[in-house]
Amino acid sequence: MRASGLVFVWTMLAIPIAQFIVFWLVPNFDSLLMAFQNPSVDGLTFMNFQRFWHELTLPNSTLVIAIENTLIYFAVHIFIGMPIVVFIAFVLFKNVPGGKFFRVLFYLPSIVGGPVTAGIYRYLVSTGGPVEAILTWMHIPFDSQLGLLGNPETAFLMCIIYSLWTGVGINMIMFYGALNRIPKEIFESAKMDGAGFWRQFAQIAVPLIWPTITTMLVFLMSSIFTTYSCVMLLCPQTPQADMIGWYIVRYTVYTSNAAGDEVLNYPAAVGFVFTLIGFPLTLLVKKVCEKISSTVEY
Amino acid sequence: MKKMTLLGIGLTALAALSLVGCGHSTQAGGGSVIQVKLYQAGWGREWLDAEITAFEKAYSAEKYTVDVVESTSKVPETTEGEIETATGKNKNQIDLYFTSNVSINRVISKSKNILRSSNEVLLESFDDILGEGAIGSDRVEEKTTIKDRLYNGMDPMIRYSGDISNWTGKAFTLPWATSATSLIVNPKILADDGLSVPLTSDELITDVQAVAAKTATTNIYPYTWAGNNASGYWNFLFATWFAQYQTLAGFNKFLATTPDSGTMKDNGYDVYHDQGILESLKVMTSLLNLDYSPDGSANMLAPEAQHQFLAGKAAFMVNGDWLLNEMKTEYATEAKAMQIIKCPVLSSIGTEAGLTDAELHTVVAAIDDGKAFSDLSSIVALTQANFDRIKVARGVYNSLGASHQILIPSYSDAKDAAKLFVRFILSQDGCRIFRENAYGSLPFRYDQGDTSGLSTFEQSDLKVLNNGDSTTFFNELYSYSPLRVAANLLTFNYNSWISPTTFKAVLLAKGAFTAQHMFDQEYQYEKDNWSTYVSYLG
Repeated sequence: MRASGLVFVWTMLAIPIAQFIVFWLVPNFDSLLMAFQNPSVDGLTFMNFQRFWHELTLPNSTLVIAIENTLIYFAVHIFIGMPIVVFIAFVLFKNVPGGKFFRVLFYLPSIVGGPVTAGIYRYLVSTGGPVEAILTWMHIPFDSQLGLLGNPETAFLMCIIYSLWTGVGINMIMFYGALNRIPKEIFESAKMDGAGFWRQFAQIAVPLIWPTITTMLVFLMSSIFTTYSCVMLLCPQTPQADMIGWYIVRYTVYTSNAAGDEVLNYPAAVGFVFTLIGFPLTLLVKKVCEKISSTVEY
Repeated sequence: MKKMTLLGIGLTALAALSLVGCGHSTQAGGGSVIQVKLYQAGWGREWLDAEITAFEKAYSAEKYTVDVVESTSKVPETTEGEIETATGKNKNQIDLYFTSNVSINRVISKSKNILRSSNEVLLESFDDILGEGAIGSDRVEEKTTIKDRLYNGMDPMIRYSGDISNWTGKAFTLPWATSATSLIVNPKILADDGLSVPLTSDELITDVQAVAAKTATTNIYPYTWAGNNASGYWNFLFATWFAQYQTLAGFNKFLATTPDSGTMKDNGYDVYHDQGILESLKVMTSLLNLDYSPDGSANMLAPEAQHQFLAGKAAFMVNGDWLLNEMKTEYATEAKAMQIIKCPVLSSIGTEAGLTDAELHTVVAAIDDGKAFSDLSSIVALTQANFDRIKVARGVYNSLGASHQILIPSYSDAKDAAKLFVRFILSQDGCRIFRENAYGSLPFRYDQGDTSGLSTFEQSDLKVLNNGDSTTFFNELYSYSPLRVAANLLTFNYNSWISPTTFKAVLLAKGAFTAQHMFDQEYQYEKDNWSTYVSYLG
């Protein structure tokens, strides 16, 4: 490449690099610094981490509840949610009748705004809603006084179901795209060899789109400790439905506004701890996935 | 080369998109153009538009123009950052903010680094106009100073209390909204059940139980509440009863974690052993029961709960006087018929005074009618001291305090004009305009004139506020105690119930929690963890 071309390219890249520095590097570095600071003390301190440990060891700790819920949330999404989405994508890929309609239907929650889908969902599962009517008709007990979201015992389960429902669309599109890149001849020859629907799914489709599955799993894991929208939208004041992401947001939004001074140091420390856990966890998941199936070429 | 070029162009376009939200497109104000941002909360925007119309008319010769650049609920999130952008090409052009929850101490502390001078500060001081009268449509300065018209208890809240001695005690903000947060009553439901507005906490509990006894037939509940996002509203009642029992001074000691004897570090946890907390909890645990609210309340949003209340589903609701403005589109008639009442006086105050609850009712009613101790000679057990105590308790109400702030950047090109506009808003005319359009009150006394034409709701609101002569207190925990800041110490910290969800837990428990149990458990929890909290102070 000529020198003039290089100059042009690097000039054009300067803006996104500056943006990365200003909007990602600086805030995250500042957050890291805040984790080791406290208005009560000059200089750096481990006070916020000591507090984190203290919160962790309290009886009925809300932090422990948040950690447990977060792990359950992601286990459900990895072992139940993702296989279902891959399966749905494969079914649509096989050109079932009404496939286009279902594709739009499944994708709709992803394009309608979060508050709107949350509002619809709340209506569906609340007292007097369709879910109550169905459960009552099926003679399944429904606590109409609390509703499913108001009941501390079922609130988090409802958050998980909501997130599974709204998460189908965008993930399905990714897997559907990956399936469409597989040469059709592979499925045709498998069919000729007597491979039925399930064998095609399990032994051809899944292995061939494994790199996409790996990518989506890595995306999922990288957001493990920052996800909170379902709790915020559906039951923000139900401690039993807490997640780590919401725990951190609560400490920044609800407490810092009332303070005369900065109280972002503790949530910064919590964020830092879970970054230290989440980062190697994400790399581990990536490594394990890559070991399961090596690079696919076709 | 082509690929790299395309990559560069694509990334640049993407990066440029992310910068779209930065800055604003207004021109510099300067001189007679005042650029304003408004935090559009429960009081809406109509009041500001009406103030602008009147102000511009009064100053048509000078051609003052007020330009509302933004009026959204997001204004508070960006106020601090904007004010701190005091220099350079993207210098903040906004002259006047009606915002909320800005940390004045923090902004002032950053002034030296941003302005590169110890003698300058980012915010304009209001000390000059506080010592002057407001100026209304007649352009004549009023005789009473703005400071003297400020509601009781607000003055300390508007002053800088940080470490920079140059600025200590200076007023860098003025409050632009206040609200009585209390019980709102549906008078028709009470009348239909032969009940009256409760003046004591025992009467409130009796009313609640009376309405609850008929719920199966009437489908009307004692109260609505919003379990999804406003369960903390119950704290308004709890805090008011606490402050009634211990007086405001006692309540503020709790906020400041300073015990009666000893020190904050040694035994500050003793503030959690305050009798006022127990007395208040006794009422709360008797009052709160999920059976007393409509099905689904545990996850209702605040607007939903307000809908239920105004649709006649409940006799009471804990809320603020923003209710009328928020619901005026669909429920104007219903909301205007509601009554906001002073928090009933804690019955245990009467008991300690040797009075029956009926006698306490009589005393409270007399106080509301402006009567003196000498008018109550028929109540033999009543002493002057107890009368005074009940009178003080009756005058206490929980408010938003000075959390809603008027701010002017010190580097504004139009700060003189902005201050003139502020003086207009705080004038007699301005206060009336606010009342007429926002159905709320600016926290400055004014001649309310003949209020008989106002709705029930508005008249009752004015009675609670008492034109600033009541004792307002603000349950702002962190302003008072460095330990609360360091340890994020809330009103209740025991993990079975965490503020603001404490009373949600009580409601869901349906009477299983007792006041004594909650009180003892919370105190023990604070005592066990106090040394850890103190260690956070460094």
